[in-house]
Formats: sequence, structure tokens, C-alpha cells
Amino acid sequence: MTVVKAKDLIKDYGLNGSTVHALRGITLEFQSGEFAAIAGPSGSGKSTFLHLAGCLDTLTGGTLSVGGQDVANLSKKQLALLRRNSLGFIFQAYNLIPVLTVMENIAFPLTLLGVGKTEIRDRVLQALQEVGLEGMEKRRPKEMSGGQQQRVAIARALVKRPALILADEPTANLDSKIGREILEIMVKLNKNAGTTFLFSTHDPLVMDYARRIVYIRDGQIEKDQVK
Amino acid sequence: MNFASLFELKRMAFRSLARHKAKTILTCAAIMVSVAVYIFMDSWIAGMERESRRNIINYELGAAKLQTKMYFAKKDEMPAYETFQDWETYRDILDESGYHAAPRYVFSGTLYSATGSAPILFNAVDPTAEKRMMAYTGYVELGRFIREGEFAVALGAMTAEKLKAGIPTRPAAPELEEILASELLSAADGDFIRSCYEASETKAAGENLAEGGELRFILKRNLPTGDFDRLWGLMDAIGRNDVRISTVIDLKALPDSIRWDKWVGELWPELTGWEQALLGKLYELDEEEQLYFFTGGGEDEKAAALEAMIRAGFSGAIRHTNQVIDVKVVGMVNSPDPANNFNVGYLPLDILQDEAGMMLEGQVTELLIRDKKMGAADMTSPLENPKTIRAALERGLARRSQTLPSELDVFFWMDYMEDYLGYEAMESGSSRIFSYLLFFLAFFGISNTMLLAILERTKEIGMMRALGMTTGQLYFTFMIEAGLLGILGAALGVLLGCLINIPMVKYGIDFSGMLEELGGNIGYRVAGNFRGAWKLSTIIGSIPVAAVISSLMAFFPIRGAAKKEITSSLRFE
Repeated sequence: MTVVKAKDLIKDYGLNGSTVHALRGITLEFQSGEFAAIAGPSGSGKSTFLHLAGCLDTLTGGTLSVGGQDVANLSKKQLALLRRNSLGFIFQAYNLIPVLTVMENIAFPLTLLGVGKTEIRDRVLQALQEVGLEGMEKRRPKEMSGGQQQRVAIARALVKRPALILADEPTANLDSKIGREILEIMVKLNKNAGTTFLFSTHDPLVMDYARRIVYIRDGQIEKDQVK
Repeated sequence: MNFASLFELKRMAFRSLARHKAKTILTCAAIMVSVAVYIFMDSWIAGMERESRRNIINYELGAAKLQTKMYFAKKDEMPAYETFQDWETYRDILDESGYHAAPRYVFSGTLYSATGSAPILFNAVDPTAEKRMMAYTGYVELGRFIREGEFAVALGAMTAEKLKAGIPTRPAAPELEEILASELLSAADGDFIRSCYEASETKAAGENLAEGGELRFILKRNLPTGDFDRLWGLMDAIGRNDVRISTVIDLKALPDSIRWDKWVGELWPELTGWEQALLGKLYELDEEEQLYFFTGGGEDEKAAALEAMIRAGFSGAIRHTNQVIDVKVVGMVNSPDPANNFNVGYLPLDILQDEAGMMLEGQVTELLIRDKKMGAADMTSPLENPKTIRAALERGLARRSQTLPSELDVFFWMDYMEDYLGYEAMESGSSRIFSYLLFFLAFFGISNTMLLAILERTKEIGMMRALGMTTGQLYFTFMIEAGLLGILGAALGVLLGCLINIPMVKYGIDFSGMLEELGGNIGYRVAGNFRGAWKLSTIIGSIPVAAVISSLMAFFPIRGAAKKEITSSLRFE
């Protein structure tokens, strides 16, 4: 099943009075269950593609469908609901809510979905087990290491079992050992639960783990390599 | 999204408040102070209004008045010619129906003492009836209240002092020396008078001096009653209490002739069609003399013509006669209602009946009415509704086979005090605007706090939106956060406001000194001790109002965050 389908995708944005052509007509598809990376140097457009695929940004031209829905025709609220129901995000800077406990942070997407309290608790504890953070549910983010915080972020992304998890430079703030541990968790989730992962990265470690790497340069696909 | 998830978002909002403790405390403190000041000011205004209204009813007007409709229509001019008779019948009927009634003839004039003069509003009253229902009669501080049949006046204390009548309470040294220099006083009398005064040493330096720098004496507060009486008698003996009323007796009378120019210019344009027809019938123009002459008519026609002229404000229908009445000051009124203490005099009604007085011949301008069950501390009762009073009067008159004359009606005290009520609304409005401003300033603090909080959490907001939080949920979360801030601050403010209010309501603040400096009249009918009043609606309403305003104040900062691109929010450092 096609999770992301882009055709002639264009994204321009203004910067200091001039127009930056971030994506110049990208045509690309990702199937359910993939563990893929979009790689390229800084400014190549990889993060821009990830943001479009995550419905965080609007496209300038071409077509893009996420989870079978043409995102160009969706309202702001529909996009929010699509993100809420079908997508998970892992950010480079973890982006946990500091005032909430680990449990509450992971529960946040389920709260937005309106899941009942008991089910939330069960699913959060399971997610914590999957990322190896059992017993840490009452901690606050500031009481944890970077690696642990990223695990929480992974748990938060996977707790609602989304069709697609988008990870923007997930290992950039971690040393290679911790980075490897994080990637191992993601691989395991991909294999066991069939969760689709799409990375934006220039970290060779992530590229090692990815089974498909799409190289982007100057807003265009340079190479689409399946291992 | 269900209620449970809204509850979760609320919990997050509450935690966020705890995260920014210093900002939360400061903003709460600002709201607390503004809410406390608002409650305090509102209580003060409510207290002043209540006290003023109570004083107007119990010290000035009674709850309602029976008087002519024309008097009411022209009340600002105080038309002393608008009188009515048979008030004794109405009084008796009202008495049977559970009301006190006190007749009055109100007129204006000038009061001359040996040292000066002042314009005075004179109330010619039935002392017995007045004592029964008007509370000011219990506040004759020096001397006594007037009695039937005596040519006497009880003056407002401030005016008496200004005219140097009665016992001086704070004489400057020359004034006291002048009194003592009177040949009518013996040396023992002089010594006695001196012993009644002291130069107040408890006052700050300079305060016991009069304007010219002379030493000021203060009448001793706790003189025995006998000494007061003797002192009053001595003041009387030297003529200090002899005053003269100069006034004009206004009488309605149909003029025998009216100048053509007055007829055409003043009278005719103000008349209605049927009034013109009536006057055209009663008067005839002598072209040679340029005068309209009265040619005769029936009694009813004459009465109707006179009423038409009065209604039209035609000055030729009022005859003026100058009158001078010599009276003695017998007491000084110093009541909690300043309106009684300034430029007001009370005379016995019965001395004004013949040529030596005001030629009233049993007429009065009004009958004050009060429910017998109401005391000096009460407002009005349902029985004091003008319609109820009127119905009682009509029933009583019907029992006597009489009817209430069409020119008479019952007017509620509020109808009579439109000017005061307007002033009250203006005063309370301006005071409230001040406290609203303070209120809003504090809530702009919330807006600022929320702006900073939202700016600080831009990345967090971007993440929450990325995870699927809708704009509506974003508004909900932050408006709840601001609302909680408002509730917390307002709850503390209510507590502080109530604590301040307890002594304000129980004891009040004595501003009599300041009031004296201001000439004794600040518009409100309160003499000096300003007390607050509990206003539950304000106390209870403060918290939800603060919550709503706080939430609304957070709207614009949130709107800014909601408009930002999610990717920009996520990149925000």
C-alpha cells in the first residue's frame, strides 16, 4: 500500500526578498512497511520533503497524497486530523513538553485522539517497554539523558500506531552508540509492528540502517537506491 | 475530542502556570491588587449611595410627597404659589392607613443676622409631625428644635456658624472678644463664657489659628446640659440669635389687564388651542390702550384660565409681595445628611398663616409621607409606592364622600431627586471607570505574560500542532491557562478586598475634616463618616469575570502563535 505518493512536487519559499526553490519537481512513492531515508547535504531539500510528507507545510506545485489523501485539497483542520490520526513525528531536538511526565508526554497524541484513560495507560506502558524505558513513566524530560528523551519521543510517535513515522535527523543530537540503540529500536518496531519509517538525514549511521535511500540534491532526486 | 481529553489539556495549562512561578506570582499579584481595589471602591460607592439614599428619605423628603402636579412640573423653580388646602384630611387618612404625614410650606428667602446674610431654603413645618417622621429633628446639636407658635428658626449648623448666630463652636479670638464686650453681659457671664471654651492644644501647630492668624477657640465638648442652656441664653440675651427673614410671597391671581406685547410675545404662543379660546373669551383688547382687559367669566373659567397661565409660565399670573419676618434662632441642625446643615432653616408652619407670616391661610406646598413601620435606618417599604399611597388616599376620601383633587398627586422620592440620582450615576460611573481601568491594566499584564509564555513555548506549540492539535485546542489550552491565572489572582483579590472591607463597612472612614474644607457638600448626602457596604454581586462576580477577561486577553497572543507556520515554530530558537 502506498503511504506517500509525490508527483512533480515543487516547493518554493521566499527568503530575504528572493525565492528559494527547495523542491524542483520530485516524483516519489513510499510503500507501507518501508524503512527509508532521504539523504542529502544541508539545503538539498530533504527536510522540506519530510515536512510536506508530514503535512506540516504546504506545497507550491505538483501533487502529494499521504495515506491516500490529496493534501493540497485539505483544510488546516483536516490536515491537523490527518497528522493526529495517521502520522507520527520524531524530531532532532526531541521536543518533549517539559511540564509533563514521560507518561503524559507519550499519552499526549492519544489524549488528542480522545482515547480513554485506562487504554492510554496500557498503551503508554507498552510503548515504554518497546523503547526500553519501563519504570520511567513518572520522570520529567529534564531528569533524563538525550538518548532517553529521544526514546520517549519514539514512544510518543509510535503509541498511536500511525501508518507512517517521520523522523527528522533523529540521531543528530546523539552520540553514535546511543544513535545506534535508537535505530535498533526503530528497526525492531519496523519489523515487528510493520511501522513505516521515513527519515531525513545526513548521518551515515542512519543510512546504514535504511533499506532504501533517496538522495536529493538541489531539490531534485539524484539517486533512489534500494538495498 | 471528549471531556477527558479537555481535562488533560487543562491539566497541562495548570502545570504551565507552575513552571513559570515568578511570572505567575507577579501577574496574580497585579490581578489581586486590581480586584481588591475594585471590590473596595465598589463597596465604598455602594455604601455612599445607600447612605445617601437613606438620608434623603429619612432626613430630607420622606418616602413620597403629596403635592400639586404643577409644583412637581416646576419643582426646580420652587413655585411657592403652588399650594393646596385640606391637608389635614389627607394627613388623617394617611394616618389611618399606616402612614406618617408631615405638612410643609417650602419657600426661599434671605436670612439676615447682625453680621451677614445668606440665601436660605425655608421649610415651614409642623414640629410635632416632623419629629415623628423626620430623623434630622434628633440632630439639633446646640439649642433645641422649634415649637408651635413661636417665631423661631432652627438653622443648619454650618449656616448658623457662618451668620454668627447661636452658640459659636469655633470662634476666632476677636469674635469671642466681641461677644464678651457686650454691655448686656455681667463679669460673671463673661467668665462663664470663657470657661466654656479652650484653645485646642491637641491640634497641630497653626491649626488652631483662624484665617487672620488669630487664636481660635473651641467649644468644650462635654459641657453639662445646664451650661449649654445658660450659654444659649446668654447668646440670646446679647441679640446674637435675632435674625430676619426677607422673602417674597407669591400668589396666583388672574391679572385684570395684560399688555399687548406680553400677550402676543409671552402668553399666546405657549397656550394650547382650547386655552387660547378660553382666554380669548375672557379678555378683550383695547386697541387704544394696547391692553387686554379681563371682561369677566365664571369661577371655573377663571380657575382654568389661571392654571393655563401658570402652566404657560406667564409671569403676570403671579403677584409678588415682599415680606419680612423677624425670628429667633433656637437651634442648630447638624445631621448626618449635609443637606440639612447648610442654608436650610426650619420654621413652625402655624406662624406663617396670616399677614405676619406668609398669608398661607391653611395652605401648604407638600405633605411628606412615610410608612409608620419604617425607621431612620430604613429605605422604603412596598407600602410607600406612590400608587399604593394614592389608592389609600382615594379610599379614605371615598369613605368621606370626597375625591382627590385632580391637580394633586403622589410623587416618589426618586421622582423628586432626578438631579441627585443623575449625579450619583455620574459619580459612581466615573469612579467605576477608574477601577475598570485599573482592572484592565492588570489584565493587560496577563496578555503580556501569555505573550511571553507563548513566545517561549513556540517550539512546543509547533510540536503539539505537528502531533495533531487543532487551532481550537490550542486556543482552549492557552485560554484555560490565562483563565486559571485570572481565577487565582481574583480569588486572592477577593480575599484581600474583603479583609479591607470589614473595617470599612463596620467603622468607615471619618472624612468630616476634609468635607469641611470642601465646603461640606460633595454631592453625596453623607456628612463625613464614609462607610462601605457589602456588595455580594461584585464579590461573587469578580472571579468569573476575571477568568473570562483573562482568557480573552490571551486571545491575541494565541492567534499570533496559531498563524505561524508549524515548520517555523519548530525551527524557532
